Amino acid sequence: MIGDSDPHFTIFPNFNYLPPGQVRLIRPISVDETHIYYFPALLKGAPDELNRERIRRSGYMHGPSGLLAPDDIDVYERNQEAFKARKDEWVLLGRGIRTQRRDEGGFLVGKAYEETTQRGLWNHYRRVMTQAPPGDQAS
Amino acid sequence: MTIDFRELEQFIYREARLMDEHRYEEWLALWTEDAVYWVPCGRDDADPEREVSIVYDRWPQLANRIQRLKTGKAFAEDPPSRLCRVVSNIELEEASGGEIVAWSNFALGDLRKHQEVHWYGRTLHRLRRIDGGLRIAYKKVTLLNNDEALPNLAFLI
Repeated sequence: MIGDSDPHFTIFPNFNYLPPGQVRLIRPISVDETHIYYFPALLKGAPDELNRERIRRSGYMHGPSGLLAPDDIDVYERNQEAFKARKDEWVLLGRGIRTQRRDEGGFLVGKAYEETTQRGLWNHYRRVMTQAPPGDQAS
Repeated sequence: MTIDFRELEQFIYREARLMDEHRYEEWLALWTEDAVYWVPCGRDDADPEREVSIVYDRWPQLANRIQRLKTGKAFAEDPPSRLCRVVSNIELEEASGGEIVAWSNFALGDLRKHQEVHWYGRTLHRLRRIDGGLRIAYKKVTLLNNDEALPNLAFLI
């Protein structure tokens, strides 16, 4: 609920869980506009103070005046600016591609600042958008 | 408690200028130690204890906010926004008890990375006189667009 073991995770394609107790929903509007919603995830039956802390944290960290989200948003905007480039329209998401490994469960694992998760997301996006057969393991 | 309207006006204009010029420490020094700074989200009279706010700070959160802006690692304000705000419609509601209650409106131009954003809002100040000077004990800013998708608002309002 609140603790160090609370993991970040993404539910494909656009739901991010940001511990402790915060949700980010990414909603594409058009080719050059995206709305990002931040919500606190409140727990039914939890102590009032826990839910209040989650509500406070939502604005304090993740709102337009938060201590975290505006820096993320600014970086998204810088990316968007770069996507306008005509000459080289590829984005390299290669960090960690040589050091990532498969764990006992067969899942690809990378370090926190490597781009294993981004590659996983976009590979899956390509698969579902092109109906490619399972077995297309592009990475 | 009595106050000269001109003094009130000058205080509000000075606060606006400190915010426009990103003079964070001087701005922070305007607040009392038990201050509350609230920018509601979704509607003007939301309950800040039970609903998300854009800002709902006590002094320690305010101090953290200023600290972060000064680290040089706050990308959202690097480079900083160029700000120019006009504060007007100042009304002195009451100057009894220990506090001075004043309303004002602002129009704010925010220019950053060639993009100009316009902000409008209404501010409620509760001020106290401490050691001869005015201090902000409570400030509530109701943004015109507090129920819309908002761009970054990483500077002071």
